[in-house]
Amino acid sequence: MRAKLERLLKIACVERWIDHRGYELLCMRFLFALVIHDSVSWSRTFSALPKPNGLAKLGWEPLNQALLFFGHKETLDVIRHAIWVPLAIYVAGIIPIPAIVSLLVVTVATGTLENSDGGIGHSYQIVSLILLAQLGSHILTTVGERRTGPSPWLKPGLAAQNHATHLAKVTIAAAYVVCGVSKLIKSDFLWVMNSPLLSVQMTKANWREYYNTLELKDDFVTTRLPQLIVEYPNFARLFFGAGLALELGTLLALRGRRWALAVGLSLVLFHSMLDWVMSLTFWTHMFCIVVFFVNVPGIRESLREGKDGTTDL
Amino acid sequence: MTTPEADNPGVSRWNRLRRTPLALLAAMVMALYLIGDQYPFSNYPMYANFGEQALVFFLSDGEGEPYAMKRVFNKSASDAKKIYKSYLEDACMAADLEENEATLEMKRAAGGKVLTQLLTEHKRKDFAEETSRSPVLQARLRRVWLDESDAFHDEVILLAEESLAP
Repeated sequence: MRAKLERLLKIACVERWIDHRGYELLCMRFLFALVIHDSVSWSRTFSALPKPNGLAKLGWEPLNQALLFFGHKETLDVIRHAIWVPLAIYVAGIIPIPAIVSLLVVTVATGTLENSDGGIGHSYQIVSLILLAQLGSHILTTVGERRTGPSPWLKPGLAAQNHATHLAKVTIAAAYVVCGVSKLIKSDFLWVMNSPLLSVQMTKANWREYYNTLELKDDFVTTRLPQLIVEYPNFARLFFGAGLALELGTLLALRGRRWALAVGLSLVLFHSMLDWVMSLTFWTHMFCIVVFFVNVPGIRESLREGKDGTTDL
Repeated sequence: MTTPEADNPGVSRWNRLRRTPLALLAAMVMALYLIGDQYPFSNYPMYANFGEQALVFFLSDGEGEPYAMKRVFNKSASDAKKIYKSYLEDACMAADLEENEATLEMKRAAGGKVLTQLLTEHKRKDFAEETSRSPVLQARLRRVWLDESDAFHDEVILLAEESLAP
């Protein structure tokens, strides 16, 4: 038993820092820049913080006023266009630290306003978290740089960009693993056993979508699926248990290119299923997965990756 | 695979991290879990624990006919329900009650706060046109539950009402 456990740990605890080609990194930065722009709710304005969250919870009035500045329509109208400057710098891969800091200010401020409204959403944290991780990576590689020549904070080398990309992947994996861990701990490890009760949440989701649009759906998901889950609870446990295993197993995406591709495609399928049965569309998460795990320009290399992580292209 | 230090000798501190697989991931998971829902951090608790009942918050005219939430406000029914639950939690905490012990008055007060917040902060541009069929706007709550014989039930309660008179 112990030998088996050790073998399992040996299989799971592998982390391979992939050296992506320049064009892959450029593509990742470009696509992630689009995700960043899309993650900000440009049309939502805020004039108060009724239920302070995150930085707003510090209760420091000048900071709250600064946050609310990002809730004004006039400010958002200007930033909506001005943000393309740091986004372009980020994509170009030059002076990443100021570019990422300015992107972080916008995403964290608008996200904090959204979540200080009483209802906490979970769609956009991933964007700010990835930016935070990449900022940390660039700061550390810059501080550690001793080489003469172009200053690394002006134009980080391929290795530094790869570090930042790897940390983005670690962040995505951590977000999924913690989601699985929360399910286990908050349900007293009974999540899989209780999962047939998700049929109630599905019924709720159907009503919720109806009240959002007043479009009545009359398909298999709305009329039959919740009752089928109640009638066949073990089938539901198997299905939802597989989803939980996938969340917890997202760390395997750090094993190498091929694993990242396989886990990435599985997560995209998982989100598509969630969208189908519960109208939960985590578009931002899906796009981040496609950008950093599936890595479309690198699929050929991912498929040719050897066991030792080398590719023979 | 190449070694990053060949290209960038200053990354040696990263190498220490590289020698401990998944150390950073484990640290991030722990930090995210302990910090909880404080933007931009989160332990993603959605659907972590669920019971035999669920709530849907919606808006209607004076006759109880629903409005399409997304056409009236820039918040969804899900957002409104979360705001409602946060106000109800506050009220329950103040009264030293569990959420399932909340009285109808407490629910109505929480619903009224949501309605006021939506009307002051989140009206869409064509709000007046969309809600012109009634002089009032009502906040309602649909409760969906599964009974012991595995049958689905639901009920709707009126939470609050606001006049839309100019």
